[in-house]
Parts: sequence; C-alpha cells; structure tokens
Amino acid sequence: VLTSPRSMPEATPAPRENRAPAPARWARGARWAGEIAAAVGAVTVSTGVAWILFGHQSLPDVAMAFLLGVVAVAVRRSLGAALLAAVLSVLSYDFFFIPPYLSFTVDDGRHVVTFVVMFVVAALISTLTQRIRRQASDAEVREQRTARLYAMTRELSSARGFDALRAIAIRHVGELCEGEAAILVPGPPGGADARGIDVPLAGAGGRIGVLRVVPGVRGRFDDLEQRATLETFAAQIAGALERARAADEAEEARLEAETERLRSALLSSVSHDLRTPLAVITGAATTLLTGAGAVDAAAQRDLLSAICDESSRLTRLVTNLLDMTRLTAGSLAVHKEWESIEAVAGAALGRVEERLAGRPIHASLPPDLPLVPFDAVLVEQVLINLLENAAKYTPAGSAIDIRAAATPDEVSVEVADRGPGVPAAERERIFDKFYRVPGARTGGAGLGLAICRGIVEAHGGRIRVADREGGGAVFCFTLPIEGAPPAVEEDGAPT
Amino acid sequence: VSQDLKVLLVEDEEAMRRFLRPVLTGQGYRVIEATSGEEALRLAASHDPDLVMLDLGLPDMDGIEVTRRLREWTHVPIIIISARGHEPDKVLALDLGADDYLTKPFGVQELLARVRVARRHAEGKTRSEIDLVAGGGRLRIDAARRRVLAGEREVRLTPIEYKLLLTLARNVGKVLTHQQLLREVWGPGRAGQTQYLHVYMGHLRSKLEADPARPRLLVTEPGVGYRLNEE
Repeated sequence: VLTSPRSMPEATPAPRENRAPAPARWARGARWAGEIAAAVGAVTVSTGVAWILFGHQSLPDVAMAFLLGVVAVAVRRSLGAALLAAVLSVLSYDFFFIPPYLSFTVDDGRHVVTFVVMFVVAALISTLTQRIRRQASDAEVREQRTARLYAMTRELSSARGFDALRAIAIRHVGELCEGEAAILVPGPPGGADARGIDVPLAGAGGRIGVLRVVPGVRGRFDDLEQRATLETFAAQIAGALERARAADEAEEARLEAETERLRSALLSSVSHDLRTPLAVITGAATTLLTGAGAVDAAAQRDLLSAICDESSRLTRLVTNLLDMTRLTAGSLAVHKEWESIEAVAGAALGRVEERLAGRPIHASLPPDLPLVPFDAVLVEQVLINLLENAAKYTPAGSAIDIRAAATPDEVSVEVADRGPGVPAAERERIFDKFYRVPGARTGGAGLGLAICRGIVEAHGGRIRVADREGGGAVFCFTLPIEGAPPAVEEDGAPT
Repeated sequence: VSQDLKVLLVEDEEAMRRFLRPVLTGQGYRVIEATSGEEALRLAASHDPDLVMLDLGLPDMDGIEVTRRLREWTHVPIIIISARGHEPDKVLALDLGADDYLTKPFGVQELLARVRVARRHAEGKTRSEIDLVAGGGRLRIDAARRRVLAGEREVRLTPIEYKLLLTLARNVGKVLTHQQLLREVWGPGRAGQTQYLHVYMGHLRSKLEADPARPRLLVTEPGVGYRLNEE
C-alpha cells in the first residue's frame, strides 16, 4: 500500500540537526551529563542509606538499599543511567561493605555471586521499568493520534463541499506530521514537485486521489504503526471526500433539474406573459399605421400609451427572466463594496417614480446608518422589485414606507405597505420561482420576489414577509455587516 | 440646434437605428451611421462629428476599444448605449473618456437630455456662477465668493463637501464615476476608497436635499457613480 521509503527525499529537512548544530550538540552533552549525575547521585544516596543500615541489619538488607536506588533512576532516567547506577551500586557495595573494607578486592568468593545477582536484578528492574515507561508514552501518543483523528473526523462531518473538506484534511494531516501535506486529485497538475510519502485515498467507489505527506521531522512514519495511523487518516479522508463528491454531484444534478424546470416554466410563461403585451402592441401599432376604424386624437393617445405601458411591462418581464436565469445558473457575481443604503434606496425610488405616482412615500433612514458591504446594482434591484410589488398588489394611492435600521452585525431594510397583506400560509411560498398567490388579480411571472430572495441570500442575508401593525404587509431583508467599515477621516469645519 | 451639427451613430442593430434616426434628425442633427467599430473609426476621422452615440456591443470590436481609439485624437462627446447589468463596462468606458451613457431601453426625453448635456460640456463653458433648478428647488453656487445657496438658505459646507459639490456642478447633468470623483476631489491618494464618496455624498444630500432619502439633485447611479441633476 505504501510506496517504498526511498520516496522519502534526502532533502527532507531535519531541523534539529541542520538548522542549529552547535546548540544541538551542547544540548546533547548537557543531557548526558544530567544522566550521569543522576546515576552518581542516586548511588551516593543509596550508599549513605546503606551506611546507616550497616551494622543494624544483615548484609542482604544493605544490598536492597542499592536496588532501591537503581529503581529510582530507572523510573526517572534513561536505561543507560539505570545500568550505570547498577554498576556503580555493585562497586560501592563492594568498596564500602565487603571486607576488606575500602577496597575493591574480595576475600570471600561467595560475594562475587552476590555482585552478579545484584547486577542482574538491577539491570532487569531497569529494563522492565523502561519498557513500562515506553508503553505508557506510546499509549499517550496513540491517544493523541486518536484524538486528532476524532477532531478531524468531527470537523470533516460538519463541513460541506469537496474543497472545504480537502482543506480541513490537509490542515489536520499537516499537524499530525508536523510538516506539510497535500491531497492530489486527478485534474490539472499542481504542486507535483513536492515529494514525500504517498498514501492512496481509496473510496468505496474507486480511487479519489493521493495523500502526500512531507513530515517536518526525519524518520516520522518510518515504523509500521505510524504508517498505519497515516492510513487510518487516509481512510477517513477518502470516505469524507467521497461523500462530499457525491453531494456535489447531487447538487449539480439538482441544479440541472432546476434549470430544466425553469426552462419549461419559461416556455409556459412565454405563452402567457409575453404574448399579451405583444398582442396589444401589435394591435395598437397596426391600428395607428393603417388608420383602421375611426381613430380620433384621443383614441390615438390611448393606443400610444397602451404601446408604452405594454412595452415597459415586457421590459420588466424580460429583465426579471434574465436575472432569474443568472441566479439559477449560479453565474451571478456579487461585487460587494462598502455602500450607502440611503443612496441606493434613493436611486431605487427614483427608478420606480412613475409606478408609485400618487402614493405617499415615507422613507425613514437614520442619518447615522453605517456603510454596508453589498452589491449596489443588485440591492437596488431588490428594492425596485419590492417597491413594484407593493405598487402592484396594494390599492392605488395607499402609502408605502421604507425603513432601515442597523445592528453591529447586520442592517435590515423594510418595505411596508397598506395593502391586503400576505396570508400566513403563503409567506414562504411567495418567494418561490413562478409562484403566484392563487386568485391574485394582477398578472406577473412570479419572479420578482424569487429574484429578491436569490440576491439577498447571495449576500448572506435573509428575506421574509410579515403582517404590518394596523394592516398591510412588511417585506424585510437583512444584509450582514462583515468586518469593520473602512475609516473615513473628516475634513475641516464648514465655512 | 444649427443644421450643420453631425452625429455619428454607431449601432449594429437596424431596429435601434430606425428608432434613433428620426429622433436625432428631428433635433436638427445630420446622422451618419456606422454598423461596426472599424467603420465608426473611419467615419469619425473623415466626417469629424460633433457627437458620437456608441453601442457597447458591436460585432467586430468592443465599444470600449472604440472609445479608447477615439480618445487618442478627439474630444468629441461620446454617449454610450448599453444593456442593463453591464455596469463595469460602462464605468470602464466612462473612465476612458466617454461622456455619459444610456441604458437600453431608454425614452426619448432621457436621450435628448444626455445629448444636450454632452453638447454643452463639449462647448466648454465654465461659469463662475452656477444656478440650477431641480425637483422644485434651486441651487446656486457662487464660485468666486465660495457661497452655496439652497433656495434662499445659505448652506455651510466643509472644504471637501464644497469641492465635491463644485466638481459635480461643473459637470451638471453628466454622470461622474466613483474614480473620477475621488481623483478630482481627494487626489490620487484615495483612489479606490469609494467609502469616502458615499459618506460625503450623504453629508451633501442631508444639507442640500429637501428629502435626503428621495434626492432630486444628487442622484446615485448604483455601480457607476453620481450625477448632479438638472431639470
């Protein structure tokens, strides 16, 4: 499964040795000195204790004091230090407590057996203690890896989209190996010059790509267990990426189906909403051109204004259809800039001025409203659609109000009318494409509000409709304020 | 308008030419028609028109490119005709030196207003006193005395506000892009920092407009720039 270790590059950085050789050697020397000092210290203490016991207790009890010292070193220090302590203990025992005293010579040959047994026992204790310690630290490393694996799995399960998952996996594996990781998938080549350990990412439905790891520490992942860890990570990543890819494909299919639905709805809409104005325009224009019937000056004006009205209706319809197509196709690019709600609301009101003629319009926009990041052209369209909607569905002459308010996180904009309101059951559906409230008197393609929702959601905001106190409907949308608005320095005092 | 003024109409759609031809002729212009960018550049050189109306979508060459090539040698007013949703293209053409734009579909009144403004600026009359009427209100700027009157009320403006208003007023009726205004009022140091423009336009609106939420004078063109309107 793994490529051979020769794929480990010679150039893999081993920072501790390459980057700072002098301090590293110094540190190593200091470590050895510490080990030796610990062994000597422990044996000195053991000798002291043995000296106190000597004379009160039998000789084997004195030997026990030395064993205790060796165990103490083995628990805290390296195997080398423990073995050194064992050797020193035997020497000290011989020197101080075996006659002739203060000499390494031995009169009684039986004591040599004691020395050997004492050394073997000490060495055995040291080795066993070391093994227990290593197992404990291995368990800790394993536990850490399991925790890492769990953390990655949890993060992978909460994220959406192939690229997001890929980024998460790369970050976690990079932390695991304290180096760099990459996930190579079939497609345009990129970063192929980085060499390292390659682990295939095999999903249930075939190979997804390769996990490439360049560890920051030489020798990482050399042993089988560490490789197994890496493979466990790879398996998790492969599974997550495979699910993400399936989800992406499903989304694509859904989008395609949606586009198809839009296309067929467009066709049925064409027959209805495009033909009526075209019929009026053609009829009126031919009447004027041929002079058919007795067309007096007043009738001529009527026919001409009918042509104008129906043309602007066509314009609105085509605009909406184009906007909707762009929204559905996902090709809508949102150019966010720090903009003024007041300026855009003013522009929208100017744009629908004729349609709102004869209605009292109250705009209450606080003067301290902050700049908000949004696409001015798109948000103007949202306001135009909401205002036209209000004009279309509320009695002529009734008031329309625009309000805006800001919190530190978002700005909310309201368009409120005094019309019949929207029944509770319809409040979600009116934002759907091609949906029209049953029995609504005026014709339209049912696109205006769907476009509003598309644009607002593309900004990361929300849109909804509610009852208005005292009658009517309130359409409210929010736009998030991400980050602090850029600073604007004030100039001098007015003169 | 005197009879010898020539307008070069660059438009590949026959229907649009059919609509614009009588309108412009009715205003006393002699209409020269081009259906491609190359033809437009050739006719501009040979006929030296007084006004160019240029559709951005041409079969052979981008209208932006035509603007760039025209501006290499002539200051003739250029009015761009484009579709909605192409704001970045309009901004590009305006920053390259086009005078104004019309968004399809547009009415005759709007067309004639743009033509009038473009002609007036081409004649290059700079006035020390600007006096204009919009939305039932009157705005007077006395540049010599640095005084601004909204109706009969004297308005006190900060130096930047005044400079911004004066820049818009000197180009009254004409759209100025965000970058043009920033460069003109703040200098190159604030290029791209449109927030300055929005904040100071807000100040001006609150000082000059009867209803700042429904401006009559200081009109926003979302995604493009600002315009000081005149009736």
